[in-house]
Amino acid sequence: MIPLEQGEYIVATFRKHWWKIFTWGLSMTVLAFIPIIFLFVFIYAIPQASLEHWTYILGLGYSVWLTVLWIMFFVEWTDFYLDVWVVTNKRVVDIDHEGLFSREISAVRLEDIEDTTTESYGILATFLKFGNVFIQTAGSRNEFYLREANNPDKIRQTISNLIDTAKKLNEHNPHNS
Amino acid sequence: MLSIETLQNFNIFKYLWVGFVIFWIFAGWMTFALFYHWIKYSQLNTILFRLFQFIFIGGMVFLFFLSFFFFIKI
Repeated sequence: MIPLEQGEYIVATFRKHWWKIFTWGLSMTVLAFIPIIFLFVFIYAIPQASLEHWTYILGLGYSVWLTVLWIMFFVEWTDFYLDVWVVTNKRVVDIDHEGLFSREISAVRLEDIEDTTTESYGILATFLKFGNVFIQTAGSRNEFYLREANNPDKIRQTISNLIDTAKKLNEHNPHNS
Repeated sequence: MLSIETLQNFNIFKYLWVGFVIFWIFAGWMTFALFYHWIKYSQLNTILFRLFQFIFIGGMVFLFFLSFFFFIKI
């Protein structure tokens, strides 16, 4: 996935919360049922209308509609699954997918991290434990963010612990960067 | 010369296969694009990945046959 440096190992990978993909799946399910609801409303409103000759056309239209929704859901799922923060003992790597074939990868070294902030708003975010995580850095890209992250406090804690460990290692061995 | 009669005699269903083929080229392309991503990034080589891959392809095959069935019946 990402080339690791010598002596570097992956400590944790963090993704967005499952709630995001769940709501997406739910909206796709609702959209899948909308044509059926419309059809029932139509039949109820105009009982004398005959759909006998339209059965296969409607069937074709509906199966195409389902295919579009099916593809949309899996594109979103791929985006959800590949948007990831990889935290190693030396760096935080942010892999950001913006649709298929658009990808941005940024990395920040632990010693360049100035500040880690988490925020979560609302009842759902509080109970389901999701929120935004921001990393302020001294590098060229001065802000890293993971929106709707799963368990943001754990992410902040993990990064803080790693920074402390790296600092202690550097204090004991100043030549180790 | 385009006339009202020409438009009235135009049977859209006769040309439906064109739309159907275009749509399935699009669907095929999207399937390829998703597979490309899933296989390229080997971090997805997990049980969850395999499960989603199976569901996705199973669903696509089912939907293809479903739409094809309706199409040949028209």
